[in-house]
Amino acid sequence: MLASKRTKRLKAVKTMTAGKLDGKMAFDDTYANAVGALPGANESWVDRLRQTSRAILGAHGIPGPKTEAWKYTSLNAVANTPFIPATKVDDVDLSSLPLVAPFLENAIKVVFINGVFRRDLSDEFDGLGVGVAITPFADVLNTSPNSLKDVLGVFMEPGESFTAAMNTGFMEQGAVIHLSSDVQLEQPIQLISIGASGSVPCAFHPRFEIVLEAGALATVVESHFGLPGQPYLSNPASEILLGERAILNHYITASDDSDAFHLGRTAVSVEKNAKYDSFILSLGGGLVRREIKVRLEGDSAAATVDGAYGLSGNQHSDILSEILHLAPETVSNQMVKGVLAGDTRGVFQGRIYVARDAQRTNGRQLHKALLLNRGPEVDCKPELEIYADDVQCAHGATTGEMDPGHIFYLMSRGIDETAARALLVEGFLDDVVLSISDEPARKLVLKMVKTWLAKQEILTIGET
Amino acid sequence: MAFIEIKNLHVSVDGKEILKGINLAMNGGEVHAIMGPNGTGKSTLSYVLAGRDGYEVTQGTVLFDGKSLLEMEADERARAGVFLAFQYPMEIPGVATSTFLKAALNAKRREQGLAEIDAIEFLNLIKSKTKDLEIPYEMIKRPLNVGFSGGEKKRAEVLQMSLLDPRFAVLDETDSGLDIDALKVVSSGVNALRSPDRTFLIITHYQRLLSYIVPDYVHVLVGGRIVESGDKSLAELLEAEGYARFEENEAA
Repeated sequence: MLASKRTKRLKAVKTMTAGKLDGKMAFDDTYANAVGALPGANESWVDRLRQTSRAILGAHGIPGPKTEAWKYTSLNAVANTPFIPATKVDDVDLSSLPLVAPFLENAIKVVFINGVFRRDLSDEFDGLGVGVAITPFADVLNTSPNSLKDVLGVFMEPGESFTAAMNTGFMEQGAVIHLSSDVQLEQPIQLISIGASGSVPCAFHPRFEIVLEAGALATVVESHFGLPGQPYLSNPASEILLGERAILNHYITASDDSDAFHLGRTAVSVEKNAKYDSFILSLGGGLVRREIKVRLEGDSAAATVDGAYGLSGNQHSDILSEILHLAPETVSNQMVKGVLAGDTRGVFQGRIYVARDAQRTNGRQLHKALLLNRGPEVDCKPELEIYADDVQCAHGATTGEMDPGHIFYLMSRGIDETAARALLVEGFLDDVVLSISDEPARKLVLKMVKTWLAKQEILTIGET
Repeated sequence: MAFIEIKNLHVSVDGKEILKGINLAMNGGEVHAIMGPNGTGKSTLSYVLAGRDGYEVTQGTVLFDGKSLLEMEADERARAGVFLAFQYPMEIPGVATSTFLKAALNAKRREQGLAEIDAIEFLNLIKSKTKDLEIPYEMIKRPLNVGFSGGEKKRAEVLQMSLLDPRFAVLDETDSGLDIDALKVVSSGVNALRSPDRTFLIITHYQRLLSYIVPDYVHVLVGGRIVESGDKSLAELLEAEGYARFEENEAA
């Protein structure tokens, strides 16, 4: 049984909040009215959760540079785009879908287009076995909302980030994945969220709730991408609870269309001896912001929060990570590597917090960026906040250009300069990608990195 | 004309002249050794021949099979048959040794108008070559040189050389960091590659390596010039007497 936490306050931890408002209203009444009645609106606590979230959005507006968590990432372009709710989009052309989709072989695929669940494009996921349930989020909210009462909005509080508040205020569809105690699901689940604006910019807010009871094991891959067209705003959120000894492999790939906005958040609670093993790959999108908060709540809970990003053109990528060690002997490992070309900007903000009674904690964080030319900018803000006295915590950050010695070494073996650069960039990212423990997911990410690199202009720009 | 002709080669690094007029002619199949004290320009010579940036040739020429080597990029030289075994092979995280070997081999094959090597053929080739050099086959799955011991790195260099089948191989301090067993393995690997079609230039501080790879000619490089040339007995003489005699002359 999972502890009931809706009534019990979580251990108090200072969180990054949206902070001071900057004047602009987020998703004004026009948008809120157009959304209409959402699933679960009749259930008072669900309705209240949405209302609270929208009230936060209304009160604080879209955060600007005065908000610490948004110091390096401007949302002006989001604020200035007149989005409509994606459920109103009816002119989506899916013909190019098979060309861009990073499908995971052998996975149970659950497909969303503009946030709308598409059973016709998804694999059959009923009858996966005793103790395994995948259910459309809207169905759960309409038929059995109280089954989510101890999870939804508990581990991802609307007030903890703008991204969370926006998702929670407008959440409509998504998926609920539940594994009963000691159930081990071999087959990976792939949640596929596709953006396709058609003729009008649209916004969607898919919500994924993942609960693994004690001793359960699953692999969930979230793949976010899109089709060319008008800019869309993808605002997904994943709220995850891992019971004692549970293991979740959770890999996110974000390769949205180059005009798209992606503001996504993951919030995870890891109980005693449980393990959260994750990776974020960010390769696409005009503006990508991935937030992750991991709470290591129980003794010896462990998390790996790795990632890789590749930026070209005018892309902007921002990874915001908070890892909270709240119990003794908890372990976290984080390595994030980024490759930047063109006129791009990469941001990594990583905070490790160690509570007073989280003794014998081990936390490691490393961010490495590789600049392919003089255009990109990298902002890295590591923070260690330690209140226990017996801990091992380390963090490091490096930003540099490609080593001419490495290029020469490869060229001295007959490999031309462009190919040498490609090998080195791929190697730089693969160094962290290879740590993905699940083999099919690892292969998928390796392939996505290779495909991204095949865009030759990324490499030749570096020669100027 | 000799297969490789270095004529009056002057090279500066950061405005400082390191090589001050090297003259050296090597025929096909010959093994030449260059010996000299530290800081005398031995590694500079190896990098200039391989085409590394940052070395300014102020005078002189290098002809390789009649072509001007210095006008070629490093990768062109490699595909034409020049190979440098590095004193300190680079560690390249994330790039599997096998991926790298295949890329290098295919670059050469494309130059020769051959198709890319078949995956199975490649594996068989690597298996037989790693066995000859007593390299654990698992090593080629690891990132290039990362975490390799000194001996493993040098064996990997010889593996690359064997795979790329160069016509002119420069070995820069290949004996440094090797224990006696590794030295024997590496040397026998090099000796196996000796052929009438391949010329070696072996750069070393110590005579030790030359007991295993016996050169046809030995040259003494001091102060950026070749001050004496002879046969293998010169190496033994240097081992016994050191470089002091030449350095005194240089100073005078």
